[in-house]
Amino acid sequence: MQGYWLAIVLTFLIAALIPGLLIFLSTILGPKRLTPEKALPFECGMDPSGPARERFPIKFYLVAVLFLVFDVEVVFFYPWAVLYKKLAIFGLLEMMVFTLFVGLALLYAWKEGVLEWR
Amino acid sequence: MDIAFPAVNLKGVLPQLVVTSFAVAGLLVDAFYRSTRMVFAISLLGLVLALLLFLSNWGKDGVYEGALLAVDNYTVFFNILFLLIAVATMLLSLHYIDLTGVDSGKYYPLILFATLGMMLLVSSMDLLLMFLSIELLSVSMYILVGSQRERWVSNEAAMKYLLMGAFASAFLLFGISLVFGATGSTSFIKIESALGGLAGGGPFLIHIGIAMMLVGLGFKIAMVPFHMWAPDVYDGAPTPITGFLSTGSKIAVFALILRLLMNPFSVPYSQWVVAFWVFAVLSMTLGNVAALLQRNVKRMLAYSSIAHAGYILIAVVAMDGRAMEAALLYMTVYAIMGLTAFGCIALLAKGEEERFSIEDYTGLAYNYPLQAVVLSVCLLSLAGIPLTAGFIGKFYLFSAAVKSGFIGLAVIGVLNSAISLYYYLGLMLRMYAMPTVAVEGMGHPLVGKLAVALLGILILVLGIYPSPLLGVIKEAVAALPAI
Amino acid sequence: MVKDSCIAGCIWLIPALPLLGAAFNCLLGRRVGNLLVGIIGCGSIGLSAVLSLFIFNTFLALPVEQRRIEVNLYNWIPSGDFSAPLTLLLDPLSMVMAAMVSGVSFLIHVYSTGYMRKDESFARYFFYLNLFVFFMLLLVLAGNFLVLYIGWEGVGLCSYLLISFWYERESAARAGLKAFVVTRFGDFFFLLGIFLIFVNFGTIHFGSVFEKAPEVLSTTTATWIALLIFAGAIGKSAQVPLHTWLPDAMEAPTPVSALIHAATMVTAGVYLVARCYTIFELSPIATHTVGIVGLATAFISATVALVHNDIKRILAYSTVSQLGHMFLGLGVGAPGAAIFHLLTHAFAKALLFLGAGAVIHALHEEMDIKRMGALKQYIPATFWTFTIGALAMSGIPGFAGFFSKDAILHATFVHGGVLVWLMILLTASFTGFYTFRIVFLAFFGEKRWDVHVERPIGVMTVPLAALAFLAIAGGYMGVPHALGGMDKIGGFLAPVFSSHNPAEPAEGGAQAPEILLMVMSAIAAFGGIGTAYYFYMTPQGKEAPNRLRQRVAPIYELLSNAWYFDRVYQAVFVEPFMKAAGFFWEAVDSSVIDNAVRGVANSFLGGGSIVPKLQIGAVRWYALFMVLGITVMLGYVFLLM
Repeated sequence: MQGYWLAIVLTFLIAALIPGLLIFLSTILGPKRLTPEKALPFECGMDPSGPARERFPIKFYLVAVLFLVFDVEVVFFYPWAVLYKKLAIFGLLEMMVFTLFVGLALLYAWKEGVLEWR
Repeated sequence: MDIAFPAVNLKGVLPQLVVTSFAVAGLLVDAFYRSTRMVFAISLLGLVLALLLFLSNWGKDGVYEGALLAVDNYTVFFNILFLLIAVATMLLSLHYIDLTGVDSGKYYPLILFATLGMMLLVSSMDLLLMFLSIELLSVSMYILVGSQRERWVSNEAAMKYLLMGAFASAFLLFGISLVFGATGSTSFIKIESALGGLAGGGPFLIHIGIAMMLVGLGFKIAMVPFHMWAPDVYDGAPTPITGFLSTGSKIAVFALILRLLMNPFSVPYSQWVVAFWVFAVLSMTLGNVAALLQRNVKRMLAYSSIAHAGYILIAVVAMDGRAMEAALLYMTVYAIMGLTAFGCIALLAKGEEERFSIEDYTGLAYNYPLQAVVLSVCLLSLAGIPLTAGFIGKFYLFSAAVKSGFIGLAVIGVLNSAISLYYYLGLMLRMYAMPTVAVEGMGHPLVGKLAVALLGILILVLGIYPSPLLGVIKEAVAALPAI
Repeated sequence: MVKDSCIAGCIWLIPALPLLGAAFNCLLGRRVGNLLVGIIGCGSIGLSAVLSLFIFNTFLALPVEQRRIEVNLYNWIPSGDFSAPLTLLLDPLSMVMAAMVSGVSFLIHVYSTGYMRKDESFARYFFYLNLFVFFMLLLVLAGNFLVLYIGWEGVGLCSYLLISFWYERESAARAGLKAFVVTRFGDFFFLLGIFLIFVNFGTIHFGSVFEKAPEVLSTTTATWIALLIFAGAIGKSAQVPLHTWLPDAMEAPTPVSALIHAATMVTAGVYLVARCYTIFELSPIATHTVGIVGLATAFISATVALVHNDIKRILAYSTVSQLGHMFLGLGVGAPGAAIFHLLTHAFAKALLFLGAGAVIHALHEEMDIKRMGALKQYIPATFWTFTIGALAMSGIPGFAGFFSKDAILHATFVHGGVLVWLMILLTASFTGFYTFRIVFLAFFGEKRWDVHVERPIGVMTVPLAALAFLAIAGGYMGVPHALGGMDKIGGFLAPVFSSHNPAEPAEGGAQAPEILLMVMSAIAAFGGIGTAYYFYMTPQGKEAPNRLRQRVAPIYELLSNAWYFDRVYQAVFVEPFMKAAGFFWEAVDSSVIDNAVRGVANSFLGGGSIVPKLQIGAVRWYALFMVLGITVMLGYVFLLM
């Protein structure tokens, strides 16, 4: 039982260690030439300051929602994959129906022009 | 780890599958062909097909052990009712959405999805399926309410409904998790057997769970004090959708509440009678009183719809076989009345404008005799005047309350009917007794007129000859476990 | 048995056909034009009449003990021990009533197509009229008190609508209201009576109620029920003291007066009492009350009719008086005779009203008989038929009214005593006088008008002729045994009033008094007519009415003010009521009750204005309200534990 927990703790440690190491290495190895632009907080190339109620195109939301939908649906594949043998033919059929509907949804979204960046 | 495969009974869920497939097909046809007529035809076909399948299911009982869905007369009765409501809504929308700038390609499939939500809701025998179907119903409704993109009231209504709905859903889910925590299952049958052995109405946790679930469900039926969204949303939504929302959605949740109280929660229910009594009285009184001075017909009917939820709650309080029959009867009657009332208003739409203000109805009878006659019949029925369906419904409801010993509640109900006469008859008088204001150019849509005329005739027929419907309802209630 | 089921299968059509006609005229009447409205209106009633005559024919072929067919159409609201089935009952009584109602209605409908042909609300008229016939047939065919009551209120409603048909005229609107209020006053008691029946019997089904009545009811209860029912009849059939609405109801179009206020609706009270005769028999007090009210009404109204000049009002008072005769017949234990008189009176009075309508029509809405005269040469067909009606009404031997009135007179003589009989005899001579006063003043003498006479068209004269035939032939269904007849109608109706044997066929020597009575009544009628002839046809009698009027001025005043009923009501009920109302309004109402009532109303309306204010439209506020509800609910749960 204890070994079980230990593995998790170790995973956490390694997960913290690797990025920490990378950041540490880049600070000591990289040259530092500070310009006013570089001193600004970085935010995907956009102006970091401005009105709090900034508007941005609704297109982002559409993509985000679409991503969310398909992402969550893919999650369903995971338990199926794990139990693939036990679920046997029943699971396969279920999954095919499910995939069909996901595919239809994709088709619909595509045809409705959601995938085009206008 | 063993996995128990559920027994798949495709015949039992065939109607639901049909509705799903036709809704998806409708969406795809809209995406590929952009033909409103075709989408309309496909959606209508799907509903009618499902209706026929259900009719063939009548009388074939069976709750499947360990299954998510019940297929018995009770659910079949409601499923047929929802399909009919959906058909009526579609027919009433036909003219309306052409005029008022609704994106029609998605409109009809969404009605199908909402109907599917209602159908699954009354059939569900598991809290999770129940939650999913409520969400399916709600999400479809959010979009339908906001389907008039050009009108800001429609958008506002959809936004309010979405926000409040999410708020309420959270409570519902919380309640479900508490019930699960208290009983260790989400299946109705298992919950009941878990609660059956407990004395004193079950553990504390289950009552908190019921309270939370009641918030979520009470929101859907616009029960006071969870009704605040209703007037704004009913007012802002496209009028046929208001009719759909106030009948189908409300009835589906009521049907579910009745089943929950009969089946899994019959033991703790005894502690909740007083609460339901209060909710019934509050809903009736507040709804009717608020409707008295409304100058907007749609808002007036929205408040009246809150009051009618209160009347149905009387049956929830009385809660025996007779009360169940009364509740089913009243819901059926209310569905017809609600569709008729909002249908008549929808038929008076002109261009982008609609006729909401009470002034617009002055002397309506002279220019639009059919709409005025049908609306009057409907108003009389809503008020519960004899020889209309509304009277029959109220008669059974109040007599069920009296026979179960809730005489005070019945008296309050009767008093409320008296109050409601004021605004129903006020509108009627305005249509008939006052000279007409020249309101020109409202449409004369044939299909819609035919639909409301049929509904109006139905109100009268049920008022004069209710026995066949009563017989059907008796069979439907017999499907539920005895009390 | 085949016939039996055949009848049972189509009884419902008798009222249903007029209802269909009404529905058609209501929904499409304004679109399709007057011709089709008339055809549908008359056709539906005509079919109904043919059907009821056909059923009558089949019915007569049934053996006596099977002449009671009940059809349970369906159960309206079955609920535990209470149920309200829609039952129709066909027995001899409802059969003759249904046949009479549908037949006379058909004739009057046909007449109306002519009389109303220029009215712009033609379709509305036929809608009301068809609807009325539906309710009237429902009333007479009812198999329980609920159905009867629906019909009862329905005819009242239609009567109100038709009296106020020309609603632009204030007097018409007011008369309609008066009729409605006065009859509703009686209906209230009738409804109480029905409740009392339900409480005592647990059912409102005619068959079970009347069968069990002798065992279930004590004399006191029977008296109460009978009197309450009779109060309803008083209102509907315009008996003293609730008779004042009928003369005012003459504001209605004349065919309506003929149909509703002479032949059918006003006789509903007589029908009701006859229907419930088993209950009345249990209570001598109630029966006596019926007789006394009938006698008083017959006499008072006949006297009032003597002095009026408005042709329709004379006929209205005459109707009231004849209805009084019928109630007298019921009161003296001769329900068969009362129904017989109801039938013959329906034919004769419908004829007289339609004739009067033709006269009014001819002279362009002139109703004052002082401004008529010499019409015989202008509208001869109307004259002849009207005269036949007048003869039948006065009870001249050979005409229908003679036989039926004789049956009542005979029963009165046997059971009511000589004094009552003498009063009715006097009334009979009054009847002869006022009917022929109309005939002589309107059709003979010099011409006292100068308009272009509008002759009645064919569709108006044919019903007149048909009714005239009935006014003669109708009597021969009840030729008494004393004259060697069979009294078919009495025998036919007898099973309905089974426990009672109406006016025993007198044996042998006993026939002589009956014939004597007939001769006396004929003499009385001729006396009245002779007086009228002397007053209005002979030169030497011309001054007689005026001299008489001066000599008995107080009586004349009394009569021309209709025995001051309206004045008294005004003084006793309306004015004190208004004064009391004024007093209460100032002293009690505006301070105490007003504040209370208005407080209640205002609190509702105030609530109506407050509640929406909670609806400010902000979602966060709504959420707050919900949280409030949740908090209270959680509090409830904690209290529970």
